[in-house]
Amino acid sequence: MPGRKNCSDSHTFTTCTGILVVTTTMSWVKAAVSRPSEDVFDEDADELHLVQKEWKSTMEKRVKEGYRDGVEAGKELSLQQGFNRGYKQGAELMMTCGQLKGILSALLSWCHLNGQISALLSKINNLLAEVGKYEKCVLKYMNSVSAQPHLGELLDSVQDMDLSHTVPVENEFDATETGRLCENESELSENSCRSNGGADSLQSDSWRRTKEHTHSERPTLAWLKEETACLGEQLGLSLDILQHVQQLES
Amino acid sequence: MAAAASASDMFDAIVMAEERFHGEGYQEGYAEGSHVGVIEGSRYGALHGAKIGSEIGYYLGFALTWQRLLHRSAEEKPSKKKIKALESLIGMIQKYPFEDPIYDKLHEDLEKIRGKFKQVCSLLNIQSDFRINPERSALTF
Amino acid sequence: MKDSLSLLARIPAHPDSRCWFLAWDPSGTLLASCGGDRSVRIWGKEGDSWVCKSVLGEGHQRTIRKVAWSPCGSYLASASFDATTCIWKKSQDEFECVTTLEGHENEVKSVSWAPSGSLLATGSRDKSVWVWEVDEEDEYECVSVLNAHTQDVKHVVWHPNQELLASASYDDTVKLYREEEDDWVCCATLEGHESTVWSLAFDQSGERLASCSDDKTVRIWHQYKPGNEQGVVCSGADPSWKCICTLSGFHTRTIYDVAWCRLTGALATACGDDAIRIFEEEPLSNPQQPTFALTAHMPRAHSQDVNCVAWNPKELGLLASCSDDGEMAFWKYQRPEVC
Repeated sequence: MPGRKNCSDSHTFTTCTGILVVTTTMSWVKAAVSRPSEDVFDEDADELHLVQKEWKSTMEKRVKEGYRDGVEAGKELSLQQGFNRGYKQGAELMMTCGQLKGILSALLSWCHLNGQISALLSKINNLLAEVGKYEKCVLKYMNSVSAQPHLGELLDSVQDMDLSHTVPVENEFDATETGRLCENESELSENSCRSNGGADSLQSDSWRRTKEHTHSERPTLAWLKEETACLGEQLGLSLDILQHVQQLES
Repeated sequence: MAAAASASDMFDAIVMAEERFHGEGYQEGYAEGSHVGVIEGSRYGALHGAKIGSEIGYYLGFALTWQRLLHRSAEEKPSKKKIKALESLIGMIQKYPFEDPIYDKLHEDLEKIRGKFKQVCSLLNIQSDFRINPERSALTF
Repeated sequence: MKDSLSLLARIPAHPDSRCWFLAWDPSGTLLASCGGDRSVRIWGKEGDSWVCKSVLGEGHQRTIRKVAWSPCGSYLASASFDATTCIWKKSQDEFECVTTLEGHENEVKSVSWAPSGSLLATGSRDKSVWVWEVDEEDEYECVSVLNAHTQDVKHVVWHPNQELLASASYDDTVKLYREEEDDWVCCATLEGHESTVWSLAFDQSGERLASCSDDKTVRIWHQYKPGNEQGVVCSGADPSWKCICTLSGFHTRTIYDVAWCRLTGALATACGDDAIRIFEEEPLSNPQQPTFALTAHMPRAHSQDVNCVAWNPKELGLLASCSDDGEMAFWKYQRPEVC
């Protein structure tokens, strides 16, 4: 401790960092305060250098402490704000996946209770698994972009995710064209039902179709809706409620 | 006395310097903290919201589909109780501001909806071993 | 004081297992017991001794925690850790399982029949209370799933003459429910116990409710209707329940059960300290702030925790108890001359 002897006669002060700090602090304060005239110390320059270094590191410590306190205070205030915003986004985004799962589960339970053929059951189960995948994708996406400040951007990203994978989705997200969407949907359903009529399993068939259109292995919302509507049709049920399953709720 | 005064001055100087440096750090930290807080909060919020959104969506999709299934099945008169319970569940969900994190009955109402869903499953004779648990999904945190 | 409670009989009801609960049928002639051996046993008196009339062994896969008789005495409900509740129909001395109620996610801890006989309530570790409606064809339909508690539900019991349901929970509270527009709602939460509330008992009038807890106390709650003379505030049309007496300092361990005799008003408790205690309201005490005196204390009533006490509904002073030691005991209670 190079400065120790300089403060042998000084008072001790209590600060939050304690007495030891103050006693050592006194040395560099003396050094700092008296630096301009440089006549108080006639010790060698090495010591002065050391004292300056000590001053610097202590002040750096203060800056760091201040920074830490600031981070804490800033965080405390903004955490809730961020939470509220993220919550709303997450809730709205996932409502869609949930609805699809709910619809499929209802169909599954109905088939169970009514002793439906197992082929249909496995179709529903496969589709449920696909919704699960889609859900994971959305969740992953949500996580990666939750740093973004606005809901719009987040939704854009999710929309992009879909748009990039399938052709007819443009209409889906156009809230003004729900009428057309409906037509579109049933047409699509018929097509896919027909194409699914063969011995092909739903999965391999649909994956081929998806790949044809999109060169991607990720299920899309439009495709999931289309397949669900098709299932409904096979059960003689018009799933008009699918219209309301949308990613964008304006 | 002079020694004491000078020590006191020196102490003031330390305190001021310390406060100034602390303050500078604080401001910078505050800005950073606010930013980090929004991101962190948003992440937590998103997961939490996703969980509730998914669950509520599940119940809604399920209830709406069963409502249509029951209306369609003309062969047997659908029990009034089933229809009523489904309508009640749908009504509860539609009234539920699930996307509002500051709604004071968010949890209370969710528990009521969960109860109604269980009642619906029971009335529809959907056994617990079959029931797909919406809480058990990709959204298990 | 010890002489006020005398042992009549001791029976190994569920040997090598625990005996969890006892229920007298409404006529007071049959006693149902249930236990860890997954069976329900029906006991009746032949001459001076209690004999097992039937064993209901096929209904459940796990421990049977509670049993309840329907008000008509023709049905018995059994609640089990296998997550189901069985409904048994009595014909002569035979019991047949007519329905199994499923829906709870895990252990069903309690079951109770409403005074009308058309409603049944079950409570479970899954924190929920279910209300079931019974029609003439013995069909049971769930009318409500109540998720008001935040922890497992230990006990459910109906009000003796109203369609008011009470539940006790590990969340330290008691909740009350009533019907509202085709659904059931929680209409009151009784807070005061400092630990798990294990059991509940209404008095004969239904104006008072006793609750017993892991906090070693019994609390007596009184119902105050809107516009009551005492000026107890009620919210809306719902009556308000206020704790008017706390029995503390008598029990040294968890109190697992409390039973209010409908004939005499004597209050019996079953405690984890192996004892049975009986309390009576002091004759001159203020009904709004009653004091209860300990009138009987049987320290080693059983060799292990006492799980249940049950007053016979017809025979004055006849009390049955059961324990972790698998035994069941019958006691004669005589109010001491001087309290």
